[in-house]
Amino acid sequence: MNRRPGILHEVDLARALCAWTRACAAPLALVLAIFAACLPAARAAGQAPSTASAPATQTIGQAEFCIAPDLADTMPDASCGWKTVELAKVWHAPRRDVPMVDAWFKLRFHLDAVPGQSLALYTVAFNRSGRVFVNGNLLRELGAMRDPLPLNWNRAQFIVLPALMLHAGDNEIEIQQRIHSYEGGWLAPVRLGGEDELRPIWQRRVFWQSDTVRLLGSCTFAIGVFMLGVWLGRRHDAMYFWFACIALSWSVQSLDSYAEMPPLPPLLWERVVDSVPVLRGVLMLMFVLRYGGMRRPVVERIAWGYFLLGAAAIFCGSMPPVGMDLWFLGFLLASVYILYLQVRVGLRRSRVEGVLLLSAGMLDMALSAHDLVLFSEHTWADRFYLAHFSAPLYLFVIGTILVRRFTESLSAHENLAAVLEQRIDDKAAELQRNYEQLVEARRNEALALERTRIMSEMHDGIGSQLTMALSLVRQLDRERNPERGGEDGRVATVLRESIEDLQLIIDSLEPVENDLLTVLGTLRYRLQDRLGKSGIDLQWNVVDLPPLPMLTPHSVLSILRIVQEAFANCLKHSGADRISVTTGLQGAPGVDEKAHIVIVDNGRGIDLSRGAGRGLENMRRRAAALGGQLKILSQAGRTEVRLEFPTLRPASA
Amino acid sequence: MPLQTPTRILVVDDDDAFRESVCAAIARDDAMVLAAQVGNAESAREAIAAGQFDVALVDLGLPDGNGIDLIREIARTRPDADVMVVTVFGDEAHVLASIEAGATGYLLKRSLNDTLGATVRELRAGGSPISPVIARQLLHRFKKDSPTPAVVDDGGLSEREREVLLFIAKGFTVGEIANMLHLSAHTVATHVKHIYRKLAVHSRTEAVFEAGRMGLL
Repeated sequence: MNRRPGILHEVDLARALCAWTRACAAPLALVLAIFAACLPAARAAGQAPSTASAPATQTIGQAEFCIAPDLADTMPDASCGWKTVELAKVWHAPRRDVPMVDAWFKLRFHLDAVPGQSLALYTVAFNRSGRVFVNGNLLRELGAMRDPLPLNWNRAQFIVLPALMLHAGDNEIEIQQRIHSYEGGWLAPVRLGGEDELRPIWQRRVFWQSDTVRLLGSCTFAIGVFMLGVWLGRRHDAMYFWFACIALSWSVQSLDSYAEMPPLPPLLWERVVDSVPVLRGVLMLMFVLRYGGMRRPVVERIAWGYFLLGAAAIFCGSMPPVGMDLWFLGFLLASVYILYLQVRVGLRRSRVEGVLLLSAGMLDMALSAHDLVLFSEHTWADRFYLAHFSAPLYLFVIGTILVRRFTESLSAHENLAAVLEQRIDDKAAELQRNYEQLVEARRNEALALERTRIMSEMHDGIGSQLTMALSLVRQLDRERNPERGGEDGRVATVLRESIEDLQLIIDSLEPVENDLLTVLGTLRYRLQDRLGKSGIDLQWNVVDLPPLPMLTPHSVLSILRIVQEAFANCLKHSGADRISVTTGLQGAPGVDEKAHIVIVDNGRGIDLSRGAGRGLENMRRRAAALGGQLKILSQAGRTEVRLEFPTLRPASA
Repeated sequence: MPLQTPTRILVVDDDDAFRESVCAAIARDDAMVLAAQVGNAESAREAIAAGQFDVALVDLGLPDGNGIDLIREIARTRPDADVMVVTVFGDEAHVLASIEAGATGYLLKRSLNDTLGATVRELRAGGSPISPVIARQLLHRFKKDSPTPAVVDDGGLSEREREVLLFIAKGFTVGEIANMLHLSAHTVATHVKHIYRKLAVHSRTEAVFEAGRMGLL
């Protein structure tokens, strides 16, 4: 929106501006107020000359003016039609059939005496090129006087008047001003004062109005090139492309504020400068849409059509001034819509982003409005144009957001990589576990096969034979000693015990899935008949235990034998009629955890003082082999056998 | 249990002394009567075909055949009869294979003299014996083979049956389980027999499925 008006048609534009400022008055007034509060320095600078002028400084607000009939190096005579005009003066060529036209200004001032130091002339705007004469003597050329004329529209002029060329009394400064016949010429009010007073004022203006713009234009160009590079690497992310276009278009446009010789012929350059703001608006629309991940084919087509139509008219030279104004007005309205779009898109991502975009957009609009108002006043007062600060700031805000978004996606990518790595690690660990399980399963399968084979051997071989022998012996016993009534004799007893021992071994090989209760339950199941016959009440006070890793066939056999022996003691010697079996866990899970089996009977007790019998000795030995211990507490009426052992499989096993 | 009609027992075992001892035990018990006693698979098939028995005691190792086949034959032709497999150790491998073939009970050879009468009566009343290891294996079998136990008739266990098996695997007796679940001991034993039947049906289905998959059917 940073558009230089007036070169082609300043009056109509001013009209359009008034319409627009009226339409946008309320929000703009607010923004302008904020802006005014924020930039008092700029304002002070702008107002400085009127309040802090040196005693000798005066403003020349009137001049004698005439448009020369031809391009000559000397001032036209009185026949030229001199008349007195107020500065700033804006004028137009009376005819367009010549390439360039001259106008002359005569500025008069009075000096009481020849000053001791040089004086200086200072004016904020001078379009386009020209010469300065003092009292009829050529002092300086303000730029080349040939086509193409240099670009001076916004360049403040500072001309030192050597004291030598001045004299006491009335002095005259003649200014020859040359323009292309298609454009307007103008001269802002001229200030005359001590060189030392006016020089800093001029320098400050040059710094803020040309040097800064040059710097910002270069930065914007760099940003544009960088973003273009980003887009080349990410073709699918069109928003980088559009953003690069915006930045580059602005850096081109900024040339108009500081370049003396733009890279194009003057008329073409004017047309480019006239078209670029609208182009920038369309680019902005494209960027915002892509940034928000949106596609609005109809809106996009209308925007491009609107731009191309206007640009074509401009470049053909067939755009009437009123058409130009309407074209810009439409663009200004569209930029409100674009601002709304981008704030909405920003808010969708985060409040900060939305607020930033809104502020930058509003500021851009406000500063542009400020400049337009400035132009429309036609006073050419020494005030600063500001829009060329807002556009880079705007670009900077958007650039920051894009960079933030870029770094965010980089971080996300890194996180993703970390997550993937973690997943791979997990998978590797899982594979390892699966492999170990597979190995374990294979081993178990092999063991099971072997077990089945041995079982089958025992079943059909020694087991069957022992059983056969037992039944033969029992048969013989019944025939020879019918008085015993089926009670087993000594041989039968030995055979039966052998089979029972074999049974124990077979049971220890059964798949119990590390469940201690299944182990104990199996023994109970085998002894059930005998316990029942002895009239013993077995109380099964077990609690469920988690699978115990230590329950291998080997340790199962040890436990079975220990518990069987404990039962055998109760059955044979104690005369008990009640036995209870209790299980439990103690200690923290891990190496300290111990399982216990407690068998209590109400028999007459074991006399431990006489030294343990062979049975007890065996039980202790087996308990030690389990890495555990056997505790026996015995008194009349209560004997407790407590077996404790670690739940983990010993490392050597 | 109607005591007036004694249970007819078919004995299949190649061990003469054992057969003799079983016959003696049957003779001692009024509730049982010997249907036939045979020492090989061929004679056994004839006896099975004749079908004049209620309970068959079958030894797995026969000189001319496999006891499992005989059990399957009986389960097929005489679904109302009970088959008890006679084993030396009552180990899981033998017993489970027999149950899958259709047996509903098993006996330890060495204590058969003492337990035959009681076991046969229990069996005819609808109850089957079961050890903790076999209960655990059954739980395992049903879990492994049927991930969706919702459908009961295809071999899945009911919640109650699962409960019973779990208690048995933990060493509780049928009486204790009956107390805990507020059932009669007989009902608990009946559950076991049902489970055995389910396993047999399940195994047959699986065999058909397997055969179909292998292109045999």
